[in-house]
Amino acid sequence: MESLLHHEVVECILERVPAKSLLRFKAVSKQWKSTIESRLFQEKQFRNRQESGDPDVLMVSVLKYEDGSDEPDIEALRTLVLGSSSSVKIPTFWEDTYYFVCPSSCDGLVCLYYPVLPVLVVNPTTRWHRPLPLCKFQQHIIDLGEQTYLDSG
Amino acid sequence: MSSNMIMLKSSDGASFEIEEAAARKSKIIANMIEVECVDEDKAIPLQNVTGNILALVIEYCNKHIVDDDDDVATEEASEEEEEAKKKKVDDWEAEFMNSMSLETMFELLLAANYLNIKSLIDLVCQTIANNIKDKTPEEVRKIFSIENDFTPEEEEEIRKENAWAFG
Repeated sequence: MESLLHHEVVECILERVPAKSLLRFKAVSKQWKSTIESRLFQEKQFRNRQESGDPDVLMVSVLKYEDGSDEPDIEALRTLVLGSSSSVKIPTFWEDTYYFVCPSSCDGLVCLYYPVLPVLVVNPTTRWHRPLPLCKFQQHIIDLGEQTYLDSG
Repeated sequence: MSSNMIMLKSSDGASFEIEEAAARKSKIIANMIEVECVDEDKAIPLQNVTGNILALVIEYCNKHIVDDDDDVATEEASEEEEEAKKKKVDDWEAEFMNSMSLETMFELLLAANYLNIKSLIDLVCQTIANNIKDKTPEEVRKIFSIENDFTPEEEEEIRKENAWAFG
């Protein structure tokens, strides 16, 4: 009898499900997949999650020198929950590469950058990411040599 | 507002008396009252709602009409009182939903949707969402009576793309 639920009503339920579960529910059926991937649905889901009062998170990358070691321990991306001690390491495919994380986000996307590496746009919720082509300024730094650039401050 | 009583009749013939103010929580019934479709001594027939579900809907509406009245009476209530009141409503709603099976929740959601009671739709949707969020796709298909229309290859592809979410 539950199949009597109109898909419109099912969407109302799915709008209130967290993103990680939705990624999994894409495997339920073609209709669910197309709903979950639709832009309109994603905007509604995003608004609902914002209103639900989930804590704010901060994205950082971590560079640690243990015991004066020359080889730093690098984590490209980690979330810190504001006002709590919990923190989650987000695995990335570019392990052992240090990036700066932009302090602000746009529509849930964050930007990772380093002077001589392609800029990465990352959606930390879905783990989606895309590299951007090097910009002219970065090409210029590479031509000059990274050290020259860093030394000049 | 006067406390007019109106009658509602479920699809299986059970009659319920409800205060007009509570019944107005349903946009459909409120509209009927506006256009004076409601005959004083005739019950409003609700074809799509059974008696046991209608009883739940009425319980919800009665509870929330009392709260709305409180809001008017204590406009200058302190923040603390506001918070205490909100907590009371939240506790009541949690208790109300807690006693229900998933099947009943689905029926209640259909009724709330048909009667157009926004806050009840929100409440039931959120409860069902919390209930299913940790389930596997197989379990979800069973709950919603959905047939898997992916080929094994297509399904495998989705699982691979989002492997971390299946962990």
